[in-house]
Amino acid sequence: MSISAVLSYLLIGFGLVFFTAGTVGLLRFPDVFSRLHALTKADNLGLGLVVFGAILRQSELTVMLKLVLIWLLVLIASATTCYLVAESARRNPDVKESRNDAA
Amino acid sequence: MLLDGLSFDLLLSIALIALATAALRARDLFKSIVIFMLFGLLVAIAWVRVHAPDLALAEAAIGSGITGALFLGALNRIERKRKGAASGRLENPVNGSTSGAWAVLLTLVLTGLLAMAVLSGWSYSGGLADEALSRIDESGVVNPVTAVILNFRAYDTLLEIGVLLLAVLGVYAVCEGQTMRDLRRRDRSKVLETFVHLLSPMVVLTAGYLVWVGYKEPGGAFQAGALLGGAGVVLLLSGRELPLHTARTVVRIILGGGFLVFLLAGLLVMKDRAFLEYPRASAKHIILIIELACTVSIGAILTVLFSGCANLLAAPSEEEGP
Repeated sequence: MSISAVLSYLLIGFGLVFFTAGTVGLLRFPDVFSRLHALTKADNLGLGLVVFGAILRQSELTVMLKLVLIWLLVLIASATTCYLVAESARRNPDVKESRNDAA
Repeated sequence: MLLDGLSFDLLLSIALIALATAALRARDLFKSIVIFMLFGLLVAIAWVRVHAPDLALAEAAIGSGITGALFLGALNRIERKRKGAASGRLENPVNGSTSGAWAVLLTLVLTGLLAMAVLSGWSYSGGLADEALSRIDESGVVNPVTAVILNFRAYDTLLEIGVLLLAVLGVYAVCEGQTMRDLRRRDRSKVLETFVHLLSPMVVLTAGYLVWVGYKEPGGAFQAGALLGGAGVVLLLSGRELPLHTARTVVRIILGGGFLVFLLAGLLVMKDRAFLEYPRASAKHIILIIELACTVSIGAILTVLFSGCANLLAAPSEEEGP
C-alpha cells in the first residue's frame, strides 16, 4: 500500500471516530448545549478528516475541490444551525430538558 | 472491501424501516416530522443505490427538504392557533391509534402480495425503457430522464406544472381577506442573516447549473426549482420580507411563467406537427427555455406555499428586499 492510501485510511478512520463520539455524545449528554458541542465536533472535524481522506483517493483536481467545497458548506451550515438551536434553547428554557422518549 | 454493496443496502433497508416506524410512533408531531425528513434523505440514498440519481435529487430536495419545511410550517401554525387550549406539543395522532395498526396491517399485506408476485416467476419486461432509449436522438437531449419528462411525455409534465400553479392559486384564494401575519421576527439574528446572505447566491448558481446540466446529466427544472424554493424558505425564515403579493404584475408573471411558456411552446409547434411535438433541430433549445421558465416558477410557487398567508396580500410596501 502506498503512503497516500495508508494516510487516507488513517484520516477516514479518525473521522469515523469523531462521528461515533459525536453520535454517542448526542445520545448521552444531558442538555442541548453539550449535545450541540458533541454534534458540531462530528460535523466539523469528523467530516473534515473524512473529506481529506477521500481527497487522497482522488486523482482529479475538480473532484478534490468539490469535496473541499462540500466541507466548507457543511461547516458554515452546521455553525449557523448550531447557533440557532442554542439561541432557541436559551430563549425557551423548557426545551432544554432532555426528552428521551424516542420510539 | 470492508463494507460491500449488499451489506450497505441491507443496513439502508433496515434503517429505512426503522425510521418509518419511528416517524409513525414518535409521541409528538414535531419529532415525527424531523424523523420523516431523515427518512427522505435515506430514501434519496436508496435511489442512488438503484442508479436513479435524478430521483435521488428530487427526493432530497422536494420529498425531504421542501415537504419537511411545509410540514413544520403547518405544525407551527396549528400550534399557534391552539395556544392556550392545550399546553405543550401536538401529539402524533397515528401513534397508538387503531388507524396506525390498520396502516401497518395494510402495508404488510401489500408487501406479502409483492413478495408473492416476485417469487411466482414474475419477470420485468423493461417497460417502455428500450423504446425511449432507442429514440433518444430525436429528443434533443442526452439525459434519458430529461428526454422522457420534457419531450416524450411532456404533456404529463405540463399538467404537473399546472397542478402546482393551481395549488398556489388556492393559497392566494384562501388568504383573500385574511389579516396579514407579520412574519418579521422580533429576534432577527445577524448570524442567520449573514448565512442567508452567503447561501442565496450559491443556491441560485447551483439551480442554474442543475437546469443547464439537465440535458445530459441528472438535473432539471424540478430539482433546480426546489433549490430556489429552499432558498425562498430560508429567506422567509431569516425574517426577510419577500414581495409575493399578486398585486405586482412581475409576481404573476413569475408564478405563471413556467406553465405559460410550456403551453406556448407546445402550441407554437402545432403549425405542422402535434401539440408539444418539438421539431428535432430546435428541441434542445425549446426544452432549455421551458426548463428555465419552470425553474423560476417552481421556486416562487414553493416559496409561496411555505409562506402561507404572510407577505402575500399587503400592497407593495415602502421598501423591497434586495
